[in-house]
Amino acid sequence: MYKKILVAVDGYDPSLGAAKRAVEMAAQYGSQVIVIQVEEDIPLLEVEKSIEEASLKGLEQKPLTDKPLDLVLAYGQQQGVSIDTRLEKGGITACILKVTEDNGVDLIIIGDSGRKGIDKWYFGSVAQAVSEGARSPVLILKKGAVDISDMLALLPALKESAKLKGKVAKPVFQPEVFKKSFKFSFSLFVAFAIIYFGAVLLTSAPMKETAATIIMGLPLAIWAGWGTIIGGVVITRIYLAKSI
Amino acid sequence: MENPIALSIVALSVILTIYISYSSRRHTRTTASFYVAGGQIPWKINGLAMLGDYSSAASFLGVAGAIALGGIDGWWIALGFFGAWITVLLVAAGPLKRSGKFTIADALVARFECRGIKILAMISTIVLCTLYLVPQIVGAGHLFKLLLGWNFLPTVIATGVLMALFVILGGMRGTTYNQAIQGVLLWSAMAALLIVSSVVYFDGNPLNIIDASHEMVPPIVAVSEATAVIEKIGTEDVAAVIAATRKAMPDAPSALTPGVGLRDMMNQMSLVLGLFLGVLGLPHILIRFYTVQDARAAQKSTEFTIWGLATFYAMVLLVGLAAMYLLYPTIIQLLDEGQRGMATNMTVPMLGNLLGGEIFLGIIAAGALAAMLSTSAGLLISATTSLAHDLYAGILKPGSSDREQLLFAKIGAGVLAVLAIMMAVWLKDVNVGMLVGMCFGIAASTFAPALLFTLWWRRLTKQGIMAGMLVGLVSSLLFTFGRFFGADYIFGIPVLVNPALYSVPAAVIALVVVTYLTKDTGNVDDFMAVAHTKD
Repeated sequence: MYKKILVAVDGYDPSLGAAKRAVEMAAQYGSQVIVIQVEEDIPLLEVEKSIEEASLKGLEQKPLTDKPLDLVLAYGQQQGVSIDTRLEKGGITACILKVTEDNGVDLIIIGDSGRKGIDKWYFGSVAQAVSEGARSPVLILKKGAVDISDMLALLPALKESAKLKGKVAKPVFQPEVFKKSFKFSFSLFVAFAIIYFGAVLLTSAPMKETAATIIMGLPLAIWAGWGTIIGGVVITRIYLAKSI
Repeated sequence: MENPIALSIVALSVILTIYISYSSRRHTRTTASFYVAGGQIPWKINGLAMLGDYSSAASFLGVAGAIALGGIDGWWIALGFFGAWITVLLVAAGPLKRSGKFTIADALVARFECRGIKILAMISTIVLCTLYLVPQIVGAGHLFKLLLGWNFLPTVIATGVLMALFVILGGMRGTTYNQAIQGVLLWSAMAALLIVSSVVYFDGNPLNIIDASHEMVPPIVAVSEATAVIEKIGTEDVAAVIAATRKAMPDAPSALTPGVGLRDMMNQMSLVLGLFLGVLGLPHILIRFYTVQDARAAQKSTEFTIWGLATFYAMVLLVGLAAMYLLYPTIIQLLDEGQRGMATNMTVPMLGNLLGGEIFLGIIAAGALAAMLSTSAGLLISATTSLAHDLYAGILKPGSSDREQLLFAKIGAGVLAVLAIMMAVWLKDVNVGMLVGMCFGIAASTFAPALLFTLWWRRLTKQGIMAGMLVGLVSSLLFTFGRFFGADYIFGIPVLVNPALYSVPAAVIALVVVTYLTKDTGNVDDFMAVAHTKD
């Protein structure tokens, strides 16, 4: 009946319940499951992120897993269902809808956080937004609607296998990269400092006669200040062009 | 009520800010087309937000005010803010971003897991946050005094309550969008002040403002003579007042003569050095550089910001001089009545009122208040985090619950705010730009050397960093409070407008000497590898 089912997960109870239901339905209809996790990629400051995390997750509640894709994959394998995992970056609703369109998904299953009041006003409801924006049918599961204890029982084994895979390689200190970077940053820094402190000298009380010298209709003091600004822009542009 | 229209604009702006804090965030989570359509928005928003972050109340109100009172010396506050931003970009933003650390204390602790450094960082954070709150409260207090006609004390208390409410209502949520709007608002207000004053009073040519400045005797030099002139010819004809004052003081300096506000080279050096290094050491400046999706976007948003800042700080000189000219009798009268704080901090709103009536005054007040509220929210959150995590959970009561930490932090933040309000009442006559400059001086003497050497010097030891921060903190506080108490000399050393000229070299020397006497370089290889590995 459904060939491709998409489910969005984030490591919390409602989304994992949705994933379990997706796997059960796929087993029943012989469908493929696409599991998507979206890392929000928006210009937020760290402090905003930390405030959000506290509200988003509730102070008492922590995510059940930080690797929901691996958990659903393992559960799918256990149930004999074909699972395709996707880790996307961007706006949550936008990514879910894009993957749905691109892959011809014919059912979206999504968990509803049950957020209420001011937090719902702030974060909105992704489930609601997806159901409004999707062309395919959407099944929304409330928090606690599905018992996920058997899925969570797979977590210890997953942690063990993650440990066996070993740690991620640490970056190694490269003296030549450091030296090059030091030379580049500090030569520009010194160049700017010379312009800046040079202008300070020119516009200081002991040099007030010099500062008053008129050049092209303006006193030197003003040229020194504007020169600092222009010098700063030029040095910033050089830095940006070479360092990024 | 004195200015109902302006007040309504301010109230609307505060409500709008809180509304945007909430609704913009929902929009990015739940709107399908926001990122899919072109992906153009984030870098522009980020660039504008960087501009808004930086065009604070000190830049907006303090610099123009300092120029309007003392002439060209005040411009150095602006040039210093501008230089500080470039310093952070050139020597700190890249390695900090790569190390994944966004506060200075985090970066220091990532290299040196050390209780002493944590304690010093905590103390410096709390001191800086409290002192940095003072200019925000002074600025906001004068603003409400101007708008409502209240006395300073009740307005300052009202301001403190408003700031607390702003933080409680989620003042730091959705900051990026509000900062972007603030950036647009402050930049446009500055441009509008320049354009309107040029068109209406200077034949459409901004450079005529500089021509007019040659004749002006800066108000802080001319108070008594100019007051006598005003008594004779009244306040109606500004040009006549300026000309008569110049006639009475033919040898006095002009608005373009250096040395009026900063009386000698040492004072000037101290101020500009403190400003140059200060942002490197501010705990609440969260590195926004490169928070966009890719390198090209990062480059575009940073370039956008530098152009915005460059034009803003170039315009502020002309606006300050125009304000000196157009408000000359008003400034003289305020100074004569002993209202120096009002004269130096409210020049921009008063100029707005003169040029565009209450509506312009309201827009300017709304922009300035938004800047003050967002900075205060950032400061209170930094201080609260430090109190809860570093002081209470780290030192006073390890193993305490989240609830206990939160309670301690709330009470602590309240105490700090009350302390800052008391200091604001005490220091109400000081220019907010100069007050911010002093905080920059303390930051430049504590966190700035610690951060710079942590990021770039492999040989640095944990004892070195502690010695540097301690010497920098003590010496900068000594000379800052010496200035506040009006001391001329401390231990035979002259007290300057900013502590940096003494405290920065003292901190660096202590840091370097102690480093060479000790050996513990922390997790230097791991830290340097992460901070200096190209992405």
